[in-house]
Amino acid sequence: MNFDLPAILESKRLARQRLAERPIGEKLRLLDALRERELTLRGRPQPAKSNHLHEPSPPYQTPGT
Amino acid sequence: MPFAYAFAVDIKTVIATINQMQADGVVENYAIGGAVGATFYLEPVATLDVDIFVTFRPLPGSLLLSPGSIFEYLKTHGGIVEGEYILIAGWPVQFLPPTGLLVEEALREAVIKDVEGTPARVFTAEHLAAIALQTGRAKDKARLLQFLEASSFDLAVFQMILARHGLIEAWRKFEQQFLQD
Repeated sequence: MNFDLPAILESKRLARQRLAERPIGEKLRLLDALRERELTLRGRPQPAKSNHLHEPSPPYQTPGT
Repeated sequence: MPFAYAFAVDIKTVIATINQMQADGVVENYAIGGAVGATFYLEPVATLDVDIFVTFRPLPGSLLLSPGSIFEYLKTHGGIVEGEYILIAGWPVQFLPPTGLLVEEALREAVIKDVEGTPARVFTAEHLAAIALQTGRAKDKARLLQFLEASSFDLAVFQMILARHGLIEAWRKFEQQFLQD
């Protein structure tokens, strides 16, 4: 191990690239796992009252239009 | 067992449900966007919901477009309505109409991807990147940088999309901010 920052950044970039190139089924299962983790951390939503986070939707258009 | 169906986290079930909804004629067309759409091209990142862009069918005898028929359909297929979302297979799903010409084009030109035997209609990488530039939040800019690094990303196609939708100036600013040493 060393503290060569450019080498560390390049290693991270390659790791991300390898992850991006995994089969889509595998990547979607990773998304499911991340969602499961979120539910575990925040509590599962109850049918009558939701606990899940509500993120505002992006405007999907140019600001000011 | 609608709650069990709704809470077993499985995004592939979400895709299959949307496919069935399209086959049953509830929506004309759909495409996956947002972080889930980006996952088809980039590494997966945690996201709170699934953005599904749809073209709605007008209500009979009306010119109004409504997502009501989508919600009614999905409720009978185990979905649970929660505000602007509907929970399917453990995922909050949001249905969005195309709000501008860029997203309309992205919906028209979306591509079919195979997810272990299940077809999924997804925005192209270049349209997702252009939408990220147009939307312009910090996380959208981060996503755009990831697209630019992706080996399959076609920069020429992306730049043609930007030219068609008046985003050249926004791209120039982005380049100045993030791509110049």
